[in-house]
This record gives sequence, structure tokens and C-alpha cells, in this order.
Amino acid sequence: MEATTLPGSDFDWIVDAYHEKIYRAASMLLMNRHEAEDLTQDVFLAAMKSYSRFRGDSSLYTWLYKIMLNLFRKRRAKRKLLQWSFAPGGEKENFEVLFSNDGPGPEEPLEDAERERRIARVLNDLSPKHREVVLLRFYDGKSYREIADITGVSEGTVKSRLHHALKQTGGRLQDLRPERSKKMES
Amino acid sequence: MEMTCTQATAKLCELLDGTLDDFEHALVQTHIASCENCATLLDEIKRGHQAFSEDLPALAASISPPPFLALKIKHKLTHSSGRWWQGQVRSRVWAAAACAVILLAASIIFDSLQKDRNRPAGSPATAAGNSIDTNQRPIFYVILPDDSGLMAAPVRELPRRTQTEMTAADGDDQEPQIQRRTPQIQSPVLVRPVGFKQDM
Repeated sequence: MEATTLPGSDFDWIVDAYHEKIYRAASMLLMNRHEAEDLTQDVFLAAMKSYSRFRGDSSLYTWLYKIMLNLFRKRRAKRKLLQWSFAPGGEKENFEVLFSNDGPGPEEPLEDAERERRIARVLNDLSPKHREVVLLRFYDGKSYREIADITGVSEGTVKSRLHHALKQTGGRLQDLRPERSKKMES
Repeated sequence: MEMTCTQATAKLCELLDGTLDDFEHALVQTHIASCENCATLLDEIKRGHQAFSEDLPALAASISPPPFLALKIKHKLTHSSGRWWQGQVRSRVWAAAACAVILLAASIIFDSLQKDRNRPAGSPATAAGNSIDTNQRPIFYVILPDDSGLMAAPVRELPRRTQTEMTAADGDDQEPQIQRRTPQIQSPVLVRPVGFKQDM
């Protein structure tokens, strides 16, 4: 594909193909649906403006994901200043917003909904850096090398962050999921 | 060959991913079998690994995009691309206008400098219509740069007639021609007549 700046209408197929996946990743990264919507829009806007710089080294989704991470980090840096001065620790209950729009659907078993809520709580407890790595590994199924490329850190750092995130999560889940733990131990 | 705790714990994630080769896998397993701390740590990490592997995709699937998100994005892109092109055109127009102004100013300055240079020595720099009375001797001043400390300093008085050949017109006895040349003034900046002095 020829790398040029695309006018809005020619960019539509990229929006159609990737907006859902980017929105889901943004939701779990931010732990907030409303902000995820804004971030998703910003991602495609930034992508359209910088499409001429896309060399095709990676997949289009990986490129969009990188843009999303950059925007997410900028946004977090801005918010950090505000939150530190007005409401320290204000991010802690953000995960509730992730479920604010809809509870478990009629066909969704209550246990599944509870599991989702539990994993969201655990994800929310992780620092953004650890969350980034966890999402790339378990949601996108990226390899360590790919994660290192996307996040801009070394492969060793990726492994270290993942190790720390899994250890923290395991400790947290010990109380939340006793049945599964017992099952696993046996 | 045995692994230390540090070496073994660094490989735990890869052990769970199944990306270790047989040799490393065996070494880590051997170490864990003999180290209670590492075994406990492996349990913790395994819990986290399993939770994320199973529940994270389920969590992602439960998150549905808001209605018309794609349409909103497309609308924003279309508006933004229009504004982007307008911005590009506007900035180019401003750049062209700035260039035109600079060129115009430069040509005016150059033109005035050329006029000063082409003016014959001794001719007045005043407005057209001023004529030199041959009985008047122009007093020349050299205008120095500001940092010289002297804004204006008199240089010399030029001879009454410049670059002319003087001949004795009356009588039969013709005097030899006297050629008087105007001394060349090497002006550092600009020489400009500022007034005339009557002959005594």
C-alpha cells in the first residue's frame, strides 16, 4: 500500500476494521469507558495525520496500538499533575466505571460476571506500566519481543514487569478465588 | 548443573508460557522441587497467569463499544481532514504574502542605494529642480556609522569646478589648459551634500 496521508473518507476501512479492538484495549488500559471512547477517537485522528510515516514494518494494529500507548501516557502524565493536587489516589475506583453502563446480561451467568469484575479489580490494582504489559501479553497475545518493541523497553524489562504483575495478581487472587486455587494445587 | 533461585525465578513466566527448551525446563523443575520458596512463588505466578489467560479475554469480550462509535470517529476524521487542508492552504497563503512584502521592501532599499551610487560626485542629493550655482561650493559631509561616536563629520570642501577643463576664453593669448580634477573621496559609508557655501 502506498503510504500517503489519507483523507478522512479513505481511512474508513481502517476505522471499521480496528475501532472495536482498539476501544476494548483502551477501556482496559484506562479502566474507564468514557475516556476510552475519547482515546479511541484520538488514536484514529492521530493515525490519519501521521499515516505518511507508517512504513509497514509492523501490522496496522500494532502501529495503532503504539499510537494509543503514546496518547495514553501523555494523558496520564497530564492527569497525574491534576490528581496529585486535587485528589490523590483518585484512580483506584475507576474500574467501577468500566461496568457502569451495563450489568450482567440476562444470558450471562452471575459467576462469569463476578469473575470479570474480579479480574477488572485486579487489573485496576496494577500500575499502568504493568497493565500495559499484561494486556499486550494476555489480550493481544504478543511475544516478549513484540511487547518490548511496542512499549519501547527492553525484553528483560518486559519479563520483569510481567513477573511482578503476575506475582501481585496471584497474591491478590488467593483470597478472591479459593476454589480455583485449590483445584490448581491438586 | 543447578540453578540458583534468581536464575529459576527469572524463568518462571517462560515456564508457564511453555517457551523454555527441554534442558532449561528440566533445570527449573529440578530447582523448584528442591526449593520451597520458589515453589510458593511459582504457585502465585501460576494463579495470576491462569486468571489473566482465562478471564481477560472474557472481560474484553464483555466490553462492547458504544453505539455509533465508528460513525463518530469517521465524522471527526472527515471534519478534521477538511480543517487540516484549510490550515495548509492558509499557512501557504500567509507565507507567500510575507515573501512578497520582504521582496518589495528589499527592492525599494536596493533601488534607493543604486540611485545614491549613480549620482555624479558633487551633484546635490536634494529634490529635483535644485541646481548648483557654480559660485557655490558644496560642503560634503561623511555620515559615519552610529558606533563610531561621530554622527557627522566634515570631510573637505570640493573645488568650485570639478572635472572640467578650464580654458581662457578671452583674448588671443591662450593660457595653457589647466586640468583640475576632483580628488576621489573614498567614503566609508555615504557622501551626501548637505548645503552650499557662498564664495567669498
